[in-house]
Parts: sequence; C-alpha cells; structure tokens
Amino acid sequence: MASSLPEVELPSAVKSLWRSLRLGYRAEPMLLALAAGTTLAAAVPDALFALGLKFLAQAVGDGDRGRILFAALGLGLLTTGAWLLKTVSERANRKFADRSTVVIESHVAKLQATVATIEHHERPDYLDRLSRLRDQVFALNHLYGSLFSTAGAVLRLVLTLGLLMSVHPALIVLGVFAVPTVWVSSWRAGVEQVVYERGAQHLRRARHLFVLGTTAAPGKEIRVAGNQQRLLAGRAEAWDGYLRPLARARWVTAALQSFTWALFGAAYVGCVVYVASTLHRPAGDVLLVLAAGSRLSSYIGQTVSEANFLRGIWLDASQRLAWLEDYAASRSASADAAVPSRLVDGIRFEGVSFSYPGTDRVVLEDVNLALPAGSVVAVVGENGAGKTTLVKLLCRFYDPSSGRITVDGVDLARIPPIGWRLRLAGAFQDFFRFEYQVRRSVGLGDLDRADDVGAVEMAVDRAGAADVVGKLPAGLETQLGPTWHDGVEVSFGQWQKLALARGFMRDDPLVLVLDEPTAALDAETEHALFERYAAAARAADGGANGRLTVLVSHRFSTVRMADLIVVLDGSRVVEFGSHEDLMALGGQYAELYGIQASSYR
Amino acid sequence: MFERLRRRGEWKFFAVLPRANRGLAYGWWAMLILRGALPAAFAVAMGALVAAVKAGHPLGTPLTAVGVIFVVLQVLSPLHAQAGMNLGDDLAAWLNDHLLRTTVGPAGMGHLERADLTDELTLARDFDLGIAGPPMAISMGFIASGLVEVVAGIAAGLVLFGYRWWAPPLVWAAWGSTHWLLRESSIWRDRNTDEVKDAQRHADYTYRLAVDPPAAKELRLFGLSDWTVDRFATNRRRLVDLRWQATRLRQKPLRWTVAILVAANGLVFWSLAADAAAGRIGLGSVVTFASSAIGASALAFGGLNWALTIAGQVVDAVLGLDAKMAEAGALAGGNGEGAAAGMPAVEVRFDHVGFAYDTSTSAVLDGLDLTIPAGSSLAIVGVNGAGKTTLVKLLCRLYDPTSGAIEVDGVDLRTVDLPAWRQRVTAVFQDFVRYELSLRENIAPLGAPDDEIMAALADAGGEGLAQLDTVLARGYDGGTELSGGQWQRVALARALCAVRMGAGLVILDEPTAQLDVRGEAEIFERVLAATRSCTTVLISHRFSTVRHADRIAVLEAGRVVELGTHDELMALGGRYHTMFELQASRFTEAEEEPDGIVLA
Repeated sequence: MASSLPEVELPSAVKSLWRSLRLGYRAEPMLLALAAGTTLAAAVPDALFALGLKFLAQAVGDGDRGRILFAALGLGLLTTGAWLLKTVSERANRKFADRSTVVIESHVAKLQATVATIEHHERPDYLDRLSRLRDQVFALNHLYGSLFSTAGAVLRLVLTLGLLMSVHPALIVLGVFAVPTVWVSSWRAGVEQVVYERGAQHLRRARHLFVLGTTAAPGKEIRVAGNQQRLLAGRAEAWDGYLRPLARARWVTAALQSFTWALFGAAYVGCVVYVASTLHRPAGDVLLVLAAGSRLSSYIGQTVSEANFLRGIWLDASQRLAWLEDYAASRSASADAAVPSRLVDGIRFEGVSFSYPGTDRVVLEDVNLALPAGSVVAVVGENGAGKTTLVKLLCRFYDPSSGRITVDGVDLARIPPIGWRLRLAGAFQDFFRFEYQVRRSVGLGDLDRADDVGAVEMAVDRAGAADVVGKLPAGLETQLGPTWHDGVEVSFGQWQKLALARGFMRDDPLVLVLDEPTAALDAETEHALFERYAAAARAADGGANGRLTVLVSHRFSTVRMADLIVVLDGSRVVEFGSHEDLMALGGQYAELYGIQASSYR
Repeated sequence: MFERLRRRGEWKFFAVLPRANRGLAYGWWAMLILRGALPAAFAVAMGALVAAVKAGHPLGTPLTAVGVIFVVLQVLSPLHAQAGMNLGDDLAAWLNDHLLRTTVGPAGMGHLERADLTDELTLARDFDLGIAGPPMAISMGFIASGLVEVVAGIAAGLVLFGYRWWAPPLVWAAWGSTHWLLRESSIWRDRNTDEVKDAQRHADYTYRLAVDPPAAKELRLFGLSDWTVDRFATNRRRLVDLRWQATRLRQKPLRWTVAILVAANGLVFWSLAADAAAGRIGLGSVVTFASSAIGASALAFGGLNWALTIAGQVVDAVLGLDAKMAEAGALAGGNGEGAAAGMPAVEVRFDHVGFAYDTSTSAVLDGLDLTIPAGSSLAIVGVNGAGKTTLVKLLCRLYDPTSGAIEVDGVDLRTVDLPAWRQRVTAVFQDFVRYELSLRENIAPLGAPDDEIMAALADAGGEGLAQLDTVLARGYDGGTELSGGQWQRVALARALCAVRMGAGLVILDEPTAQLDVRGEAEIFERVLAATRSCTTVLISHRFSTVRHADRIAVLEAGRVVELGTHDELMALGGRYHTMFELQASRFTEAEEEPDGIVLA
C-alpha cells in the first residue's frame, strides 16, 4: 500500500530543532554567529545592575564618596551599554532572520513542489499539517532569534542565580520554585495545540466562506442567490467553533500559569524575609536579593515565554518541516532505470489497483491494459469511474496500491519521476491559471524553450489559441490576471485554450495526456483541436518516438476517433477495443454512443 | 493635528479594538498600564525596604508592599499575554467580518474586479495568514510589549520627580531621542513604493504556486518546481535587500545617540552620587532613584513597533475599503422600487444593449436586441468571447448596460427592486460555487424543506450522492469529495431547488459540460421538464443540448446574428447550421463527413 501510516507521526522535537538550526547555519554561517554572539553579549550588562546597586548601597552606607561616585557612574554607563548592545544585537538578529527566511521559505516551497507524488496535496490530514507549516514559515525565521534570546535569558538566569547564591547558597531555592512555571508553560503549549487541531476544520470553513465572499468569481452566484447574510452568519459561526474552545483552553492554562508565578512570588518574598530578618544581613545584601531576585523572575519569564513560543509555534513549525523533509525523502524511492528515449512496445497496466491513500474506496481494481506505442487511446466511463486516476498513475502523481505499470517492460516505479515527466505533456480539466505574460504562461509547458517565441507561437497554434492571443491587447506579451499591473482577465474557455497550448509546448513527448481538456470549448474549437492532435499523434506513429496519446473524454464524438477505447465502469475496465469493435460488441459503449449520437439526428 | 492623528492606521487600530471585544480590550489596556506602572512602584517599595533594613525599623509595611507588587506583576504577565491572544483573534474575526460585509454588500461586481483595489483587498483579506506579518493573535503580544515598555519608562521617570524637577524631563528626552535619531533605521518608510509592492506580490504568488494544491499537477508534469522556487527566492531576496538598504543602522546618528545617553545618564547619576555623599538623600532614596533612572531606559526599547505598523495598515485597509467598494460596486442604475412579483410574466427584452467592462476597452455587447418570451427556453450559442456570459450577467443585474436597456414586462430592469428581482432569478454558472458545507446547504444556500431539496436533487439526477448532512469537501468530519460531474449535479439541483422555492428565470451557463454522456442526455430532459414553467436561458457549446431549447440565439461580436428554432436555423443554413453539422459529423462515419466546412 502506498499509504504509509507511520509517517503521520511527527519527528521528535530535538531532532527537528537541530535540523532547522543546521539549515540556518548552512544558509548564513557568519550572520548566525554574529547574531548569536551579540545576543549573548547583551545579556551580561543586564545581569550586572543588581551588583551595581549593591555596591552603591554599600558605598552610601560606608559614606565613601569616591566609591559612591564610582558605583553611580558605573550604573549610568551600564545603562547606556546595555542599550547599545541590545540595539546592535537586535539588528544582527533581524538581518539574519531576513536572510534565513528566504532560505527557509525556499526550502519549504522546494520540498513541497518537488515531492514526486501529489498525495500530500489531496490528503486531508497532510493538508492540515502543511497548511500550518505554510502559514507558519514566518515563525520559522524567528526560530533562531528565539533560540538566541532563550540562550541569552538562560545566561542572565545563571549570572543572577550566581549573584543570589553569593549572598547565601540556600537562595538557589528561588530557582527551584521557578521549575513549576517552566513545567506548566511547556504543558500548556501541548494542550493548546491539541485544541487547535481539533478546531482546525472550523477555521478552514470560516476561511473558505470568507474567501468566497471576498473574491470575484463566486460573487456572481452569491449575489443571484442572495445568501450574503448566510455567508456572514456561517463564517461567524465557524469561527466561533474554532475560537471558543481555544480561547477557553487558553484562559484555563493561563490561570494555571499565573498560579505557578504566584508561587514563585511567594518564594521570593520568603527569601527576602529570610535574608533580612533571619540572617540579619546588611542593607546592601538585602538590596542585592531584592534587585537580583526581581530580575530573576523577568529572566525566567523571558526564558519561559521564549520557550513557550519555541514549543507552541516555532518548534511545531520546525517539526512539521522535519516531517516534510522526511516525507519528501521517502517519496524519492529507488529509481534505477533509464528514462526511455522512445516507446517501442508501449505501456502496460498489470493488475493495477488503486485507492487514494487514507481512504477505503477502491478507485481502480485489477486493471490490465496494453496501450501500444504510437496509438491514440481514449478513456470513457461515468463520473467517478477512475478516468482521471488512470491519468494520474500514468504521470506518476501516485503509485499503484498494487500491481504495476510497465513502460516497454520496465516498471514505471523504477524510472525517475522527474525524468519521466520530462517526456510527458498534457492538459487537465482542472488546469492552473498561470498569471504571467501569455508567452510565459504557455512557455512554461517546456521550460527549456520557454523564451523561444517561435516555439510558443507553434504551441498556441496547435491548441487553436491563436484567436485568443490575437484578441489580447499586447498579444503574447499581455499580462494575464486582472490583479496584476496592466493585467487582463480572460474567460474560462480562453484560459483552457492557453492551458492546452501549454500542454502542447513539448515537441516530442512519449505520452500526451489530455484529461477532458476541451470541456469548456465551443464546437468549432473542439473540432479543429481534435483534428489537430489526432493528426499530430498519427504523424508521430510514422516512426519518430512511438508517442502514446491518452485522452479522457465523455464526448463520444471525440472518443470514436481514437484507435483504442477503454471503457471503465465503476473501478473496472469492462470493454477495450476500437470504435468499430466496441460498436459491434453491442455492449455498454455502443449503448452510450447511441444515446449521444441520437441527439444529432 | 488631531485630524492627522486620527487618520493614522495605528490610531484606527486602537479605535477598533473595543469594537472587536469591549470588555477584553479594556481589560487588556488595564493590565498593560499596570504592568508598566508597577515596576516603578516596586522601585519605591524596594527603597523603603532597604531603608528600613538599614535603620533597623520593622519591615512589615515595606515588605508587604514589595511582596504584593511583585506577586501581582508575576500573575499579570501570563494573563495579559492570553488576553492579548484572544483579543487578537477577536480583532481578526471582527476585521474579517467587516470586510466580508463590505464585499458582499454592493449590488454589483465592480468592486471585486477593479485592479486598483487589489492591493488593499489582498492586505485586508490575507493579513491573518502570516505572510505579510504575524497573525493578529501573535501581533498583540509584540504590540503590548512595546507599549508596556513605554509606560514603564514614563512611570520610572515620574518617580524621579521626587528627586529633582529636571531629572524626569532629562531622562525622558535622552531615552526618547533614540527613537528620533535612529528613526530611519527603525521604520521602513518607502515600503509602499511600486518596486517593493511588486517584489512582494511576485514573491507571494510564486510561493503559493509552489505550495498550494491547485498547480500541483502541472508543476510536476512540466517540471516547474525549481523554476518556481528560484523565482520566489529572487523576488523575496530583492524585497529583503530593499528593506535592509532602507533601514540600515547609520554611523553618525548612532554616535550622537550614544553621546546624548552618556551625558544625560552621567549627569543624573553624578548628581545622585553627589547628593548621597553629602548626605542630602538617604540610602532608600538613592536606591529608589537609581533604579528609576535605570528603569527609564525602557522608553528606548518600547514604542509603537513594527507589529503595530502592520496591524495599523491592515485596519486602515479594511476600513478604507468600505467607501471605495461601496462606490465601485454600486450599480450605475441604482436600486429601483418596482415590484418583481411574477416577473417575467410576458417577456424579457434586450433593447439595443451595449456593454463594456471597465478593464477592457472594447465593447463586449454592442447594440444587442433580443426578446425572450416568458415561459420559453432560449439557448445562446457562439464562440468563446462572443459575450454570452456577459449577457447573462446583465440579466442577473450584476452589471448595468452601458447603453440601451433591459426591459422585463415592459419595465426597465433598473427601476425594479433589485433583491426582489434576484429572488426571481437562479443561475448555474460555469464556475459555480462549491460550498465546503453540507449537501443540504449546497443545494439550498438559503434553506428549504428537506423534501424539496431531495426532489431537486433527484431532478438533477443526483439521488444517493451523499447524505444531506454530509459535508462536500475533504478535511471535515465525515466530509466527502465529489467528482466534477457530481458537483455539477449538485449545482443543477441548487438551481432546481430555487425554482421550487419560487424562482421564475433560470440561467444555465454550461450546465452539463462535466456530465458524462448518459448523464447529459438524461439530465437535460429532466432539467427542462423541471423548469418548464420557467423562462430558461441556456448557454452551451453542445448542440445536442442546445437543440432542445424552444429558440436558439447565435451571438457573434456582441450581437445576435441568428434567432429561431433548431429547425428554422438549420433551414437557414447559416452560422448555426455550420456549427451543428460540425459536431454532428463526429458521429457519422468518416466517409460521410460533409465536405466544404470552412473554419473561421
């Protein structure tokens, strides 16, 4: 089975953190060192204020004029120095964060974009995880800053504890009383995380309804239907479903956190009483305990809140990142076969079954097909019959759950997916609207020749999109998408033609997949198009590379032109043969064909 | 002056907070001020305690004061952080709600399609996704910490009034001057230049391209991952460098700042030392004032920080869109008051209608004349871009004609009450909405009795698709994904349900494009039957579907060029005949294919 459940577990926290750190180090080693160094240096003067105050108090007590002046001016300089160091370290951190953000975001984008399969784009539990990572990348770049500040806070903590213990070793007890605060702070992050994930679907729905109401395309229908108020109410309700439990959980955990702090406060007061009343120490020592102890809490506070962020968001993001890295790595399975340069025999499905990972429904069951090189194969069948899935398997967006697909006898799983796809071309019904200049939007279909205007023009021609381009204000140079500067909006059908043109950019693909590419096109275009690619495919048959064309359609007028027709019913192949064969068979195909043809009589 | 302040995003941000959650906002402010003021009080209590220790006085009172202040400070900070997070989420919700009201409010569509509002709309819509800045819930923490420091700095300074009158102004001025002297380094003033915006948008677009599902298949098929990531990195780095260049720490102002700080602090601490040495102030006061002078430095660290700037821009964008969208989305013809009950009873007539979108220069419809008798069905055919969908949009009154008029039963549509008219209309568009809601809500967005919903679903051939309560999207409890064709049945059922609930004009824009062959033939018959009492306008590329309509209009270059029944148009031998034969020929044997069909 392609679904490997163990992957659902997130990798361990420490390992994830370590990997994220290495990533930052590789990106900007100098800046990382500078940011870490200045952050630590800034911690030192901060911790010395208490000591300065103690000296000042002692000097005042002794009435030593010189030492008073020395201590006072020292404090003044310390204040300025602390500011300067903090300012410089902030800037070093920010620069490093900026730089590392680019690296991390690129890394995340690259990981997702290069995973060979698209399972992670279609599986809900993965989608949840990814959407958080995607939206939390900003958090990852704070990871380093957060780590350094944590280190700085720990340094302050150690220095301050040292000062306290210089008065009396028993004062270490203050540090012990800080433990519950740390413990609760890490516990609550986990609790809130659980509540968040439980409410994630509500958040997603709130966002969905919000996007529906704030974008142009759905705006038409919403206005006609008049369900604006429902949209508003639905969004508010979904949001409440998300926030209410989360807000409640936050308050409860915050109250508990406050309680641990109150405990620490009590310990602090106890220490002061102990030093002043039981030990009867001089005023200078009492002051040191007061000042250092009070700062201790803010250093613990910093450590805790940084650690809290670190756990709640940043660590979480880095775990997701590590998971994605593992996932991406696990998907690039062993591929030891060469990408064929031409098809000789063809492509075979051998006992192929498939269910979408994480689901039970069998979409394809024991499919056995031999698709000969150089042929045009049409796939027909009712909706949900696995037509698109067949195409997805051919493109290796998924691997079969069982059985195998062979290319001239070689298991497709052994052919590197990237190389294999370089030899594919095609267009999908749910194409993407690449909002670039037309030339680029089309040219992306063959990146190596994307700047070759001649190649783009030819592809546009092949797709019958010349009329679309001709009508655009700047022709091939027109920016698509109205939200861009000088961008124009084109209709759905026009987008589809451009998507087709993109699919026709590659000159000699081994396999051309056309997954209902003309659903929105008008009669003349469809006709012209089909003639064109049937002709092109047949020409290729004439000896070049044995191109296989796989066409998914429910239009029998188109289907009948194919050399071979695969009829899917449910998850199985029920009929397979040429139009004439299947008509003669008088089975399902003949019946469906009859229905459609009769409309034109 | 005050007006200028009120126009600032930061001001608007704070003004909006209580509207998002009044109690929480005031609580947040109260805790903020307490957290700022208590350290100053602590310095006073600390001085008193040290003085008492030195003098051997009873410690009860000062010790209690120190203890209470300390404990309250500790307890406040987690509570305040939590209040901030919840308030931030409430604010995000309020802003989302406000924007949603703004966008769904206008009767027309112009405000959603205007290019010049895109940037603001993007900012107002996507602020909580964590791309341009942290989500509001996180921002609140940053904003609060900046303000707590300011209050702490001011409060510490106030304590110094007990020492010398000149001390507070001096430390305030010195620490405050850091902001002014280093202002260029702290705020990115030119962040709204075209170059910056351009880099930002390109970076965001390519990032989404790489990580979001819609482009996943093509990205892989065409091997575009590296290209996409490179593009993203380039734009993102350009953005970062622009910002860095604009805000780098400049040497000269930094030297000035250090000099001022050394001088001011030197003066205060020297004066303190002199007074202490001369015995003019006691130990307690020295401790209190020295701590306060140190504490005043908080003023330099606090302030209205970047998180506030971003949050302010977001609030500004959301509020600013109110008026702009209301104006851009208003229909030129305004809202009429005429009754729409029973319309159309006689006919819908396009009288020399012309129309052009703002964004395009050429007219989409150009002197279009067309009459649709009530209770009949009309199919509209034509090549892509002929204006079919635009005609339908005008009929729904999503836009008003630029010239000419649409009359329903002899009444100009612009004089009819708009909501009432739209209640009479139902439409299935090519890009119909796929609500991530239950099947029930997908079929009846406005609600309807379950038996009507079931009947509508059955009419659309979608019985047994899913339970009425099943959510039609993955990623929800019990949610299920529908195929394209299944969705189309749901969309059809939506329109048929509206008909059952009283709509009289049905618009079908490519209603069966994704249905399979058996589905198409069967469904269309049933849909026509279910809408027989209605006036139906159908757009289709499929002539097998089109021929079932009572009349067919062929649209070309924004005008009706042919109009009649299937048989009439076939007899006419014009455009329709050509197109029909083309499609039909696919079903006849190749040898019989008629020659001489020339494609335009």
